[in-house]
Amino acid sequence: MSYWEILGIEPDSDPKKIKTAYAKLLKKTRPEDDPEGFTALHSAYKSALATAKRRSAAGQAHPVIEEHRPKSPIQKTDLPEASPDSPKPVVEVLASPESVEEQHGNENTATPGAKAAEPEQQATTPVVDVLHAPQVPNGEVQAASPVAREQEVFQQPGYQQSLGKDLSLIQAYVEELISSPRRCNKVDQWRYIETVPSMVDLYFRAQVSDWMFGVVSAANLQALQKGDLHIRQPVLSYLDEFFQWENNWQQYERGYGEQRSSAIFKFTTSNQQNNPNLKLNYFARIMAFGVDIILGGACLYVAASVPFLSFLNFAGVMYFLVAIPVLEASSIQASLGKAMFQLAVVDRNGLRLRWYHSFIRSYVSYGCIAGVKLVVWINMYTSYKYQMLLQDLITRSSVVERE
Amino acid sequence: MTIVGMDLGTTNSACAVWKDGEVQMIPNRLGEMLTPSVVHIDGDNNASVGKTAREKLILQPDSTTALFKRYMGTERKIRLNKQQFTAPELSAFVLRSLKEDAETYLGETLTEAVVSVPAYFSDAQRKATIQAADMVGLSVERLINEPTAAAMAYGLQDKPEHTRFMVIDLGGGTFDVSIMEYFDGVLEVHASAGDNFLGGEDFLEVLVQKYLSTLNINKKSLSNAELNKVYQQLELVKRKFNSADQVVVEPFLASHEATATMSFADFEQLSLPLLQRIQRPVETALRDAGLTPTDLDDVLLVGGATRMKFLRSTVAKMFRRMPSANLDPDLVIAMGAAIQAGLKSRDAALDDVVLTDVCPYSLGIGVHNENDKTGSQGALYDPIIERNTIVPVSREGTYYTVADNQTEVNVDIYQGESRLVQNNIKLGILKVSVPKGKAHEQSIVVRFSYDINGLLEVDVEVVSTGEKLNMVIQNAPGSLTDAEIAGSREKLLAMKFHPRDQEINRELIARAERLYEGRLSGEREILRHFLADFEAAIETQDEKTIETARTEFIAQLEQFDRPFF
Repeated sequence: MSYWEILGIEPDSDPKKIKTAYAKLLKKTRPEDDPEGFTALHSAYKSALATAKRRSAAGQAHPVIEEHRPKSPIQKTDLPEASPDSPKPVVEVLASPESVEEQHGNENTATPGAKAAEPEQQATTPVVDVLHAPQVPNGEVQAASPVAREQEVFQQPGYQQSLGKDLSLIQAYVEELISSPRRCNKVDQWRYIETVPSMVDLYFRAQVSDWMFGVVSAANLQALQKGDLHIRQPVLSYLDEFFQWENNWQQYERGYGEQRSSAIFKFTTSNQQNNPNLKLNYFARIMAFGVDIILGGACLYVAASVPFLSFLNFAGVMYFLVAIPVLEASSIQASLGKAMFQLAVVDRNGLRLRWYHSFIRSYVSYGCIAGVKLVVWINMYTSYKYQMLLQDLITRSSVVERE
Repeated sequence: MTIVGMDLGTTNSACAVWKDGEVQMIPNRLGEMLTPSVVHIDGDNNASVGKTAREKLILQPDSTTALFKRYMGTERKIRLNKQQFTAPELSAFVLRSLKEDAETYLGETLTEAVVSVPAYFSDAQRKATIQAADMVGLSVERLINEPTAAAMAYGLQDKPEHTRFMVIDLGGGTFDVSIMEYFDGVLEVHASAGDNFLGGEDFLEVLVQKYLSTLNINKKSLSNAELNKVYQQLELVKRKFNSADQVVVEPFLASHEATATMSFADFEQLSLPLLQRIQRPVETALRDAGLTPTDLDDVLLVGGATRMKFLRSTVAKMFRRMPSANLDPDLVIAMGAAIQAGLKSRDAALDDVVLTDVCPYSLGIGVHNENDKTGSQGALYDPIIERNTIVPVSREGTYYTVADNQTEVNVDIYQGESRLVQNNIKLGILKVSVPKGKAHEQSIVVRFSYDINGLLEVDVEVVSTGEKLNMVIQNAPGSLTDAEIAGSREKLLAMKFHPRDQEINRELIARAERLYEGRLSGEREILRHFLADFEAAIETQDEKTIETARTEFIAQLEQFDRPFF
């Protein structure tokens, strides 16, 4: 059964006819009574509508553009004030800063009602009082009118121009930002986009959001091909949060392709503090460390016991000082021990370390090991000399046996 | 059998019924349409709800609580007078009060109700709501989404021929956006989006912080009673901002005597991050419905918090048009719920109205993430039912094994929008055995069926063996077992509720006590006098005497107290 047959109408019906037919059938096929019948009816309805839409679009010169381009807001005339309840917002209410001063004087003598009603209680009661209240017939008009004034603004051609100006300002700013590797990873620099007044406009925001996704993903993809990341996590997370990219990830993946969209999405969520999957991997790391110690240590041991193999002494030292950092920064991303236990060294974006980064990492870890040893020695010394441990000495306390 | 519609709100609740071809709001025991969602339990296990309880927020903050809707669907317990309550239990108190009011109004026992929930409420939150109703003997066969309810109230009031519109619902604690189309009696929801932790209370919080910092008060130094007072006073200030640019707040705390001047411009500035959060669901809903802002014929504002001036102007700027709010934004949801109730009981006047809704969240399973070498990302999310698909719906996806000789496949079921399952909510897991084979050789078909009440059913079929597994997702984290509901019901029964007819008197006494606390010796003396007289009149148990005394008492209190809200 074709979807036209399900709806019981001619195959070339217009949307209005489709809707009428659907509405009529729906009342006999309610979703709560006949889920399967409803599902079939609804999908027939959607397909019929899509066909009708395609057909009417095909009849036009530039179908696709017509379909997606936002209609100019200036054409919009059916305004909601038509309803009888809403008061006609004609009064210009919000006083300009200068006249507020004048009104202030007036108010104090000429009074809103609430204030005059209870003069005695003022000293002790919690009185919340309004100053500078503009004088209008009633509060409703007051509430509605700033909006009404804004509405007029939207219909002026100047509004469109100011949007265009703001867009080119943002584009220029962001392009400059991206070209500066030093500035482009500082979230504060990006906050400029929040301050652009047009950002509140939905069209404008969507436009900036999509454009921004394009330039940021392009910059990142280009850098990633060289094994680097141009715009990193804090900024990516900020932009993702601001524009809700992740919420529409499927659309971006469709629009920009998987490669480009993952140049952003792969790096937005590696927030280490609340990442439940980032484990210390105690066991594997201790075992890997042991293997490395044995490898390097074996060289030193052999060199010490067999005189003519003393060059191994050098090899052992070199393993720790050079080979490990080089291995960890290479495509193996692990020392021999770590590789044996399926571990890899990455930076906070999940990428391979740079050379200098890797060396710093290794030397800092040796420093930490030496530090632990130093503390052990200090403790041995203090316990021998003072019968106290280091913390006892520092805090001037000690642990004794109970009597 | 009448079915009523109930709006269980974060700050206020309301109840309405479809009767004689129209919506009738049901007044509570004080004759008002709105019942504040506040619960008070005193030392003798007497429970009170609504305005009476709200008066106690200041006097007895440790035995009074509000805003508990925010904890629906969580394990959080709230302590009242040495007893622990869950959010569904507290909601049950409010529902019980609404139910009693409705029973008095209609003169019959109620067993069924349509309760409204935010469209963006999750599975667990919806179930918690149903369970709350269950505790007071109300069966909820259908939960209605709040924006949908509002749209029904609007649609049936104006009866337009064909219109497409957006409902923006900013309540006390939740924010919802829905895009709908109404034609020939069909109300079709195209898309819903929202934020379960954004509401009028957040704007109030901003104002309170500003007030405290202006006066250099440390929030921690205030007692609960003082803090509640600050919130109530600043709620007044928030309302004043609808017509004033500046509000001078006279000192009302005993410990702080300075006057604070609050300016609207500051409030607006500080609320910017909140206004930003309002844009996001609006964008999402438009994107999902495939519409641009000008495709909409109207934008409706619903919910008490949409009375705020700058909220209206922000929405106007977003859409380049003025939003409309013709019905009372506080009551419109209860009205819509009542219409849905009328629909349910097949009221003849509503025969030609059909409602179709969507599921606001994507539902899917976790799949292998081959790019994840470090374990920091976890599995990827593959949605089977995408968000804003019309319900009921049934969809399936085919998945393959990833490793050689794999014998088991874990089907992890999630709800949410993130690319990574770790950021989504886990609903359950199904373990499926598959025959050994090469990677990608064995496949399973996973079918998700989502029904009109938001219940998800998962069917898995192993293609090579034809083995089938089925699972109904019922116990999401935070929801209760049947035994727990029975326990809660007994706990509630142990609570004494004050007789309905005395509620007015109790409310007046609570109000007088609050006034008494806030005054100094001379006025206290007078108030004590008034109170004693009134209580003596109640003691006589003579209806007439009480009636006269009450009229007098109200007049006396009016002199002291301006209407609070």
